[in-house]
Amino acid sequence: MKENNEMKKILYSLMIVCCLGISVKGEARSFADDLSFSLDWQMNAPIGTDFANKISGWGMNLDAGYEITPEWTAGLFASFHTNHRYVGRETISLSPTEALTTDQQHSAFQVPFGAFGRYYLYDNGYVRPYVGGKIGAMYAQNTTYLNTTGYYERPWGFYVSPEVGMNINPKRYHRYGFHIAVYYSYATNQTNLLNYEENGRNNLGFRVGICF
Amino acid sequence: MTMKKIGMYAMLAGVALLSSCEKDPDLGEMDGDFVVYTQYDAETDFANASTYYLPDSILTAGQGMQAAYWSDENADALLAQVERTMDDRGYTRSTEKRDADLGIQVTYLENTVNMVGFTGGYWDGWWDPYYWGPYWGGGWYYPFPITYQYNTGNIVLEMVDLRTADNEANASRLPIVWLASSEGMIAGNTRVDMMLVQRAIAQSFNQSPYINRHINEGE
Repeated sequence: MKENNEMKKILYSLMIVCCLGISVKGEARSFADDLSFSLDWQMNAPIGTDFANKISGWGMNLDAGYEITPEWTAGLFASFHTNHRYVGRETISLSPTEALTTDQQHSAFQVPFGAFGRYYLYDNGYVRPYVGGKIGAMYAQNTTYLNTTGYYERPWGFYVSPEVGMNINPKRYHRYGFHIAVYYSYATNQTNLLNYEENGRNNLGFRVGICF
Repeated sequence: MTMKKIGMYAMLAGVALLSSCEKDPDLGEMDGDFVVYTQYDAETDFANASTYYLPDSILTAGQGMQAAYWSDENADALLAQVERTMDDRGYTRSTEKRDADLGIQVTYLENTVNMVGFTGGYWDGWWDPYYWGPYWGGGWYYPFPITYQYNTGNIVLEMVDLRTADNEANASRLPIVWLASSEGMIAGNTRVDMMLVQRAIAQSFNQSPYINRHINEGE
């Protein structure tokens, strides 16, 4: 129940942020002209954890933004990513009188979504570097697979991610181009599976994709 | 329906859709050995026991899950492994139950997990058929045959403390003071399956160093 209330607060906050962003714009351009999107493939490396921390490219990100001013864009984002890690056979002490020997295949699947903002530092028509940030909620599904079974948890958490990136337009001021970015992210999701305990998840990664 | 509710449902549907994008791990990377679980009674003094009784056959499940006893050269090999390990740890096998301090019972079960009976579609209740509309209340079915199945083996060692039979409180209840339960997928090939079970028995004792008469000798 407490988790549901937290989720509702986060979702309403995101809606308000987006509405505020759109409402401060006063120009007469069409709504569609001011929309922008970037769709990326991403590489993600969990840091500071032993659970499913192998770098992987099994993820994507979608940003849908609205240009508030030529420098400022705000919008919504959603992404997903999976990281794995194989852990060789080891004996785990489950309690002072219990022991378990097994190998494990970890899987951490994360789905952050929410609102983002970007501030474009420069624009010469070909390149538009920016600094930005994302804020929202993250759903995670963390699983450890054993020989014939698996244990999993599906925690929710609060998500924040600073990002620097760049739009690259091969044709000057053309709508279509390429997008690259590097990011750090932190989510408060908590996991406790067998001998692995995680209090928040940190990631470093980069994205390559298209913008339009 | 209010805009708030539509927004919430759209967001949750989006998350559910993205959930289907999870990349499954490569389970073929796993070593295939059994998962070995052990637990013991901390009150039991294993070092002070000297003899044990080990039956000549292994309990298993026969037709209709009736108790059956497995005794052939493979069963003998597994029992010999248990005997050898217990002897190495300083215990002596007794031919009479009433003279033994400890009793060891060995059980082996094979289970076929048959996907024909798999109804699927559930996800903590979220993908209930009713989710797709009130008219889908009749449950699930697959319009195509599912033939996949896999076999699992489960070797269980239990140790009972026969010394407590003199204790009035335990007169009619036999305490199991050590449990070792190992489970994993089996290949259906006797040689490979025997190897997996023998490794599991060895590991069961390896992670139970307290079953040892020599444990106090260094003190």
